[in-house]
Amino acid sequence: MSQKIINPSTSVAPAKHSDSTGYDYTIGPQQTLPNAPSLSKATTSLPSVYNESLHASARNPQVSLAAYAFLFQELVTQARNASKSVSEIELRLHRNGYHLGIRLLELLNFRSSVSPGSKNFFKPGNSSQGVNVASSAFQEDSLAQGIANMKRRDLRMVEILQFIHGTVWSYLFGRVGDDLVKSSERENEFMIIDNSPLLTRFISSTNVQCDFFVCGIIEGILDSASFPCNVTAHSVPEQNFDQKVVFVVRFEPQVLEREALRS
Amino acid sequence: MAIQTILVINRSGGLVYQRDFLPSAAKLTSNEYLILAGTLQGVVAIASQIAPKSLQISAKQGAKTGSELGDATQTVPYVGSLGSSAASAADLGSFLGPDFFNESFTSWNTKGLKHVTTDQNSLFLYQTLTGLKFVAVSTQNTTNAMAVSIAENLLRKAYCLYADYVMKNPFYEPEMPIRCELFDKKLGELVAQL
Amino acid sequence: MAIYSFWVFDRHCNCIFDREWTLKSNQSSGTTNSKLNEDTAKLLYGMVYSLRSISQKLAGNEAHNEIRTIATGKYRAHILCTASGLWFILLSDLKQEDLSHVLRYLYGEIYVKTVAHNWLSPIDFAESEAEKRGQGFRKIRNRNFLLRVEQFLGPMVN
Repeated sequence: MSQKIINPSTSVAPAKHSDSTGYDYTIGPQQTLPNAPSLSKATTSLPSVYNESLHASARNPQVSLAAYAFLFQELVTQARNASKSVSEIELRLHRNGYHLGIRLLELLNFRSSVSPGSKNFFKPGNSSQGVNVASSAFQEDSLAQGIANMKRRDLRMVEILQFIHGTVWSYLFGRVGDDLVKSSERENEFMIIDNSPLLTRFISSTNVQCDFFVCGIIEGILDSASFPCNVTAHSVPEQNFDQKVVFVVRFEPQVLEREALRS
Repeated sequence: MAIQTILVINRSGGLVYQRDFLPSAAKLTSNEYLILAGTLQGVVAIASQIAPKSLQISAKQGAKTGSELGDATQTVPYVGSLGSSAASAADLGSFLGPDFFNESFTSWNTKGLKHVTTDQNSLFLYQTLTGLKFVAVSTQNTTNAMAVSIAENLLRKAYCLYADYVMKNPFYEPEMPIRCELFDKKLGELVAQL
Repeated sequence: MAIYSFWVFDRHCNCIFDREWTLKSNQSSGTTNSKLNEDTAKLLYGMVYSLRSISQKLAGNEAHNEIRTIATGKYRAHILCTASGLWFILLSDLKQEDLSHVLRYLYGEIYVKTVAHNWLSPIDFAESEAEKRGQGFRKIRNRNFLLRVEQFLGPMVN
């Protein structure tokens, strides 16, 4: 590799990484405590933080559902206090979600770029127990190599929708969406179905549709992936799932045109 | 034991929730329920005032000798298979286990009113640490200790539901009457499983 | 068996008898018809009165729904309301789940025989209008009643 990809966080010395704890945007919440003895001891052979995210337990970090619910509650309350009408509340939630979506696309694509296959190669046990400088140089190498296998951009409607339905959903809600359906009536319409939405689970249905926050996330992701569209949420209570929500994605005509050119 | 009515009284004695579960339940006007809630609030305070002298004396002696006999905390045993059998873990909101809780718990209501029996009903009162009161009226007049702990377990579960479906609802104003469909529904399921 | 105190109220809201034991070990400890218990008696009356009104409301059309026991975190009160408007209240520890038989004995065998059957004892302890409105101070001082209450309830104290 002659050309290394420069990443701001890799230019930081490894020793610094051992001190920085808590939430790291590249790997999500960390499992270890700030001054855990295992960390401070192993500063010399400490692997890059990017390797840690490949660890099974770090990949499934648990966040308190109550904390999640209270945070969302506060978000809704804020939107409600600042708004005059129901549609304005929904618009505000939508806007909040949109910004989250743009960032999520970057983050999740970056994370899935470090492929699990390279995991063994990066393991600290395999690395030669050289001096500190050599090991850090080695790590920068390894990161660059990981990113060389960058995940390709999703170019088709179905691909990006599957990314949302699978990767994004399991990142946000801990499970994949319940269904992904193409509309039989309109060519540009797709539906992502969630039988029991996590965010609005404790919110009794009112005339305000709080799932517009998730609509915003979806729209943010699709927009920044160059799939301009419009997303709406509809609650469709069913026998067993009385909080079932359907997210309807309507792509702009130019997306369909592009899709037609590709095939 | 059939639950006739469940009431929730806020810390200032206002009735925030009232629901009848039996069609035979006495029809009281909302005003009468408000008075009832206020009366209960007062009675709870009075009940702790008139503790017998004999108990007060033994409490003082207990404090001197270091034993906690006088002001001992009371634990309520956990009663299993109460509204947990059918519900899967996912249905219990933020409680990820098979049930809301599965160990005995400390009763925070050490001095106040707990349980009243009459010729036809009994009335159970569960008080939370924050002063919120959950009241259940049942159609039996047993003074059995088992029935009391079943009722305490039930009301504590109602409190768990309150924590999830009322407190986590952004459209609920604290201390105001509870109008949450999901709370209604889950409470109905809980009582039906009894 | 542990009981703490015994109270009788008449139909004018007056406490006409009170007996409180203060030491578990001593059957003769405590006070009888004490002035110091006046406030406690009023609170007790108030509590029972409030809960009685609640229970009557809850019963709806069926008129008869008298209160039986009240349990708090520390003690249990057993209540017997007679048709003549008398209330017999016995405070016990929480282990005593139902003492209604004791209260019925106190009413039927002791009160009726020593007070109601006694021509020299007043049956209505309020003698003036003011006393009928909760200002009453007269108590049951009948020797036989006191003695028999003591004999009956004394062994239950410890």
